[in-house]
Amino acid sequence: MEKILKRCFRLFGVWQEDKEMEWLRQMSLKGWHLTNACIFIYTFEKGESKDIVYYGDFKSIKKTDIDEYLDIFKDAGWKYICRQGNWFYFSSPADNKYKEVYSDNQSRLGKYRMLLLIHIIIMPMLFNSLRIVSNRMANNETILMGTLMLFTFVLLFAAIYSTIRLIVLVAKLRKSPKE
Amino acid sequence: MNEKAELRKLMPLTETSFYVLISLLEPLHGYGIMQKVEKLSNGRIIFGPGTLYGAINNLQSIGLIALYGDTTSNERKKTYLVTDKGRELINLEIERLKEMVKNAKTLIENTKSNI
Repeated sequence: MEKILKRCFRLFGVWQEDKEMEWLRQMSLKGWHLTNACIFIYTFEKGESKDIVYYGDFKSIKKTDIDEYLDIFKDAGWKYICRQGNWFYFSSPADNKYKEVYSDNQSRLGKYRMLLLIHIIIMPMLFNSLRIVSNRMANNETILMGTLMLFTFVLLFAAIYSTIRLIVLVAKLRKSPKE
Repeated sequence: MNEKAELRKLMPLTETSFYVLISLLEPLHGYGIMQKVEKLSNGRIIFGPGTLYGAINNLQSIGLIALYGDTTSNERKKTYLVTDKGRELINLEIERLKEMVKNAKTLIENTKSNI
């Protein structure tokens, strides 16, 4: 039988983990199971309705360590779906004992700290691109340059907003007396 | 002595790190650690895979645990074992935890008799 696929475009911020995962779970309940996630485009395959939970983990990992990382998830009942850069997507039956991928605040914090660090590294690059684009635009006002300028602006704004949300999230996790 | 001061900088260990460390007094791989800790804590502690992977990585990088055995063997999964440094730290943690329990017990019993 031919596979029935569906692609959806959805924007989720890195701080919206819960919202994204709940949406994926709802899709599975409707019989659409995630097969790929690639920069805001989610691909689903039609199947039976199942209660499946999802997790997108952010991990900067050495090539030689990937097998071990994936093995631990597999042993804990998590199926590896796809990888997009440093994002790894997994799924698991909702009744899995190990359905909390991060079972303590400390390790959850580790994930967000890493994301925050990446944002902080990217920020000066975006500022720099904006500077370059605006310099070019001064001598060369074309629609292409205008679009590029707008695009860089949007990216920079998104990065700033995302950074603020991540800082708030990290602060909240740090405040908890729970480990 | 210097070494002890060095180890004290790592204290207190989180519950996760502590349990991973003591479970590795015998060689185990990732899933083995999860199962052992669950058993030791009577099901109270269930490690998520993300948490466990992070803890193993972290403990290995600071030299409290190390890869165990022949990595060229057929066994694909990596096995770990606590190092001498890790053992030393467990002993220091035992002292710290003893002190905590002793103080809490004494104080809570004292206040109970006051009421």
